[in-house]
Amino acid sequence: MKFNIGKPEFIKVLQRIQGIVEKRNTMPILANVLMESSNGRLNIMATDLEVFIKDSSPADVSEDGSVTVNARKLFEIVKELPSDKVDVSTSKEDRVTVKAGKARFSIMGLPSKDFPVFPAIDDSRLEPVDSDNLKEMIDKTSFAVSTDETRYNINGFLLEKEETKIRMVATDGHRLAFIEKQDLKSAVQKEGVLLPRKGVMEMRKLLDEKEGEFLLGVTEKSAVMKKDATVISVRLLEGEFPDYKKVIPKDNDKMAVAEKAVLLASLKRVSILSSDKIKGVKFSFLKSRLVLSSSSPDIGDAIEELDLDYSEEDIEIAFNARYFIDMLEALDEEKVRINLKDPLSPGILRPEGSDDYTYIIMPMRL
Amino acid sequence: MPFKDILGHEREIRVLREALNTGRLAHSYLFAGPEGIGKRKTAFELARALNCASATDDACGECASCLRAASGTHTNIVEVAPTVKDRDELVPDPSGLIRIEQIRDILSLLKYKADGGRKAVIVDGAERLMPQAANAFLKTLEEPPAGSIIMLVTSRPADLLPTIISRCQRVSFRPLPEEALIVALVEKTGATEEEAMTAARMTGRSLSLALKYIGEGRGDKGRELIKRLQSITDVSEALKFAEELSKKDDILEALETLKGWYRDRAIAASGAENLLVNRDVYGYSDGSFEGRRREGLAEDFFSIEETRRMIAPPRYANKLLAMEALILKLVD
Repeated sequence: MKFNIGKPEFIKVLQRIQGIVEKRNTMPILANVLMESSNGRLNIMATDLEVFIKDSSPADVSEDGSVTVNARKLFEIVKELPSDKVDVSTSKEDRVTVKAGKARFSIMGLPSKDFPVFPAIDDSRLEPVDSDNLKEMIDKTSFAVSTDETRYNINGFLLEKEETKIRMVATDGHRLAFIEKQDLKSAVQKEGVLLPRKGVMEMRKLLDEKEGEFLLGVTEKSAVMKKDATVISVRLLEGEFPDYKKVIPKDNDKMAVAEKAVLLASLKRVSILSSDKIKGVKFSFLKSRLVLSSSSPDIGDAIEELDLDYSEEDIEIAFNARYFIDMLEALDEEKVRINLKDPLSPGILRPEGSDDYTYIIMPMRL
Repeated sequence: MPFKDILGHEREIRVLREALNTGRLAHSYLFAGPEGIGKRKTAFELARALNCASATDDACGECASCLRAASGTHTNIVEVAPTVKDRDELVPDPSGLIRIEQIRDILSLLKYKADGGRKAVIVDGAERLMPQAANAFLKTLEEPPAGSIIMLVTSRPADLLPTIISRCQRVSFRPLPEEALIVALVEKTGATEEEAMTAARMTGRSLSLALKYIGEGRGDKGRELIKRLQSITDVSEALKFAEELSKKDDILEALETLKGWYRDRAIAASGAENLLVNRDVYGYSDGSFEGRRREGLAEDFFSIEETRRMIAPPRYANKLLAMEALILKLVD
């Protein structure tokens, strides 16, 4: 294998895969990136067996071939190279030589035949998606995804379709975020699939990086996102997502409407003095005002009052402030609706004037 | 057909293939049996068969799936084995431990949907699961995610936590048939049939141990060891011998040799000379059986085993002290 490539292009394709390669204990080759030169292009691929990513860049190829080398080291080397052009070649025993200007690196590689293969992609199942909508859906739910490895069925997002709507749901057992959008075309199948957090976050990065039309496809085993020459394939999670519809309360008839910015700022202040681990803050809903208070036996207490629209009977309820803040920060609207039932039932947060985005949060006993 | 490449174990493999054919595979297996007889190989071939494109009850060994499995990069197959920690890296080492990080690797594979076929996990040297790792594994072992199978492989099932054992279906692997093993050894090493037989018997009919036995000339080493032990007459000699032993790299093997010898003596003392393993090796006519009763020999046998366990990971007892205590007891 032998090719010559511009340093900026080389950096760009190598940078994208850095998030994927992982120091895993079971398979040393996964720390490597697969490079393949043919037809005037350099194709690269990396995987941790959960997310697969491949990319490609034009290059001046003088000899076809393929090899794998340590992705992190190669990236570090290329970043620091002195000139704008990089020469890469392989010799016997998969040794890779990187040359630029007067600098010369020789790195031990591994044979490309031992590298996992990129899952086959059926192009006919890819459909264009609206990237802004998809971004919004990810951003408004990703913080609620569970990080508890033992509950793998909620370590990701539920993506499903109902009639003309696409829905994304995430939960960690204490809160649940749910968002619906009118059809992003039909890339999503009717039966829901579970997308793992890590893969979705890689897709999210790609959405930020590029403009224009993205292709998305979901099959029984994986979800695929494609943009120009960049392809991300994510293995789906096993298991059943909890029946979230049962969790959404129907009879939360006490409604309050608050200014998002005001509520967010004062919550952040008051939660400073809530006890360390669980950021419990007491919410006292009174006529036209809300009193937030927190206390920590070792440090002290805080109290703050703010105005809001509320005309039902008084209610006193405690929530984890972190969970509240996460949602308020993701919200674009200026006003937030809070629906409650009683101090021991979950609360519902929604933007004012829309039911597409729903956030359920379990109360605490303080 | 790779199941066919496995020496012996017709019975065990037949059981697994029947389960495979009738769709009645258990979700967790414990493959137990002496070291070096093909348990891991059987587990691996079962994993390959489950993912093979031929979709039969055996792996073809030639399709893309089988080849990827052979190079260790199959997305559906994950294998863990004991490791030692070298700074932050985990380096495979049979005398190391299976750590909780490795169990997390397994869990992170199992939570994804199978890439065709079935997900298979092989835990080799399962007796070396650290207690924390074993406990982290329990829930998964009891009820693995859909479409997956877990195979624990061990040569010391008694060292596993009972909570692990009770969650698995056990398949007991018997030692290899002596004749077949001798043929294989002669073929592989070019040893004479006589040497092959000794190696087979000395290693409890284990292929890999017998290969090692022949390769390292262990027969001679063992004889020397026994001779030394027998020649000890006073305490200072015993202590010196213990010190030498404690400095040996192959101290665990030396203890195995000693165990074999005590086992034979105990058996001979009960009059069952036809069951001797080392009949041709040490010359039992030299009076080594006199002076001790069978119970005493059996007790010594267990002392050796206890010492072996103490100095092996994860307990890492002081080798010198452990060996001194043992040798003094043995020559007493």
